[in-house]
Amino acid sequence: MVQCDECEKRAVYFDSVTKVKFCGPHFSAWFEKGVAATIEKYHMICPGDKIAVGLSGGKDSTVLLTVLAKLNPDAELIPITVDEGIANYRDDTILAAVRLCERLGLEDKLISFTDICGKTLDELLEKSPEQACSVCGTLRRRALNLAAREAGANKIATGHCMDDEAQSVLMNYLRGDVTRVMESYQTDSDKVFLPRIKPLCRQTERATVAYGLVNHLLTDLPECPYTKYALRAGVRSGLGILEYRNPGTMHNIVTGQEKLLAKLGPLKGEVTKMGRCEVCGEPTSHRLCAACTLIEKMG
Amino acid sequence: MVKVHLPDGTQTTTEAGTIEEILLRLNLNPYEILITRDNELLLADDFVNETDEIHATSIVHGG
Ligand code: SF4
Ligand SMILES: [Zn+2]
Ligand SMILES: [Zn+2]
Repeated sequence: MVQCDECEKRAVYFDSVTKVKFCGPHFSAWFEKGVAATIEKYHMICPGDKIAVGLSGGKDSTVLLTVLAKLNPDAELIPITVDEGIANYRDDTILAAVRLCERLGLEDKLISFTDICGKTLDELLEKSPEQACSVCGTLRRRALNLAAREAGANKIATGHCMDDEAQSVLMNYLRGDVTRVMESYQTDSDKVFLPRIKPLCRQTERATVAYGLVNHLLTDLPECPYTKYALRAGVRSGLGILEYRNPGTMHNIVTGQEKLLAKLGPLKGEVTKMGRCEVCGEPTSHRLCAACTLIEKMG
Repeated sequence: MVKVHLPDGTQTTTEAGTIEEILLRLNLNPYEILITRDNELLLADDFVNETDEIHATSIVHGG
C-alpha cells in the first residue's frame, strides 16, 4: 500500500507535478486550498457578490458548485442549468444537476434553447451536425447571460479548468489568431457583459474529476452525441499525451501565456466600442450579436 | 482476468498488472483516465489482481 505523505492512510491521488501523494481527505483539502488561492489571487469573489454558477450537471461544474458552496458560505450562489435540447443525453445530466442543488440546499434555475430561440439544439443542427459545438457554445453563453441577469447576479462562474485554458491558448496560436491571444486576458467587455470567473482555472481536469470521485459527487452519465464534432478534440488529446509524458505541460502553457500578456502590458490602439444588438439588445461591436447572427443564419 | 468497465459503458477483460500497465495495454492515456475499485481511487502504480473489477472514468468532456 502506498501511503499518504501527510498521514498513515492509503494514498488515492498522486500529483505528478509536485510528486506529492494524498489520501482522500488530504487530497480534498489540498484541492480546495488551491481553488481558494486562485479565487484570492485573481480577486474573483467579493463580499455581497451574487454569483450565477453555470451547472451542466457534468463533472467540472458539479465540482465547481460543491467547492464554491463549501469555500464561500456567505456568497449567494445561483446555479443555472442550460438545457440545449440534446436527446438521450441532457435529461440525465439535468437530473444530476437538480439532485446536486437539492443536496446543497440551492434552487436550480433552468433555461432552455427553446426559451431563447424557439428550437432545440437537435432541431437547429438537423442539416449541419458538424457545427454542434460552436452553435451550442454561442447559444449557451447567451442563455447563461440572460438567466444570470434575470436572477440579478453580478458575476458568472463557470467550471473551466486548467486543461480548457491550455487548450484555448494553444488553439488561438494554431489558428494564428493573435487578437484572440491578446484579448483573452485584456478585454474591457466586463463593463457591458457580466464578468466571468473561472475558479478552477488553475486546477487540472484530472484533479477536478478526482475530487468528484473521492467525494462521491459523480454518477455515470451518458456522453454528448456531438462530442465527436468537438473543435478541440485533436488539441485536447495531443495535449493529454504531452501532459502524460511531461507532467506540468498544461501549467506551463497557461502561466507562460500569463507572463507574456503581463510583459505586453495593456492593449494599445483603438478600443472597439461596444454597441447593442439590433435584435436582442445584448452588447456587441457589430449590428447583430453572435447569437442572433447564428439564429438568423440557421433560419 | 481483471474486469474493466470502460468510460463508454462497455466492458473488457485484461491480465493483472499495475493501473498504468493496464491502461497502456488498453490504449488509453493514463493522464485522461481515473480508475476506481470498490469506489476508491487507485494510483497508477497500484496493482490490480486477476479477480478484481475496476471502473475507468474519463476526465475528458465535450465542448
Ligand atoms: S459536446 Fe458540443 S454539442 Fe455537446 S454539449 Fe458540449 S459543446 Fe454542446
Ligand atoms: Zn492523508
Ligand atoms: Zn442579439
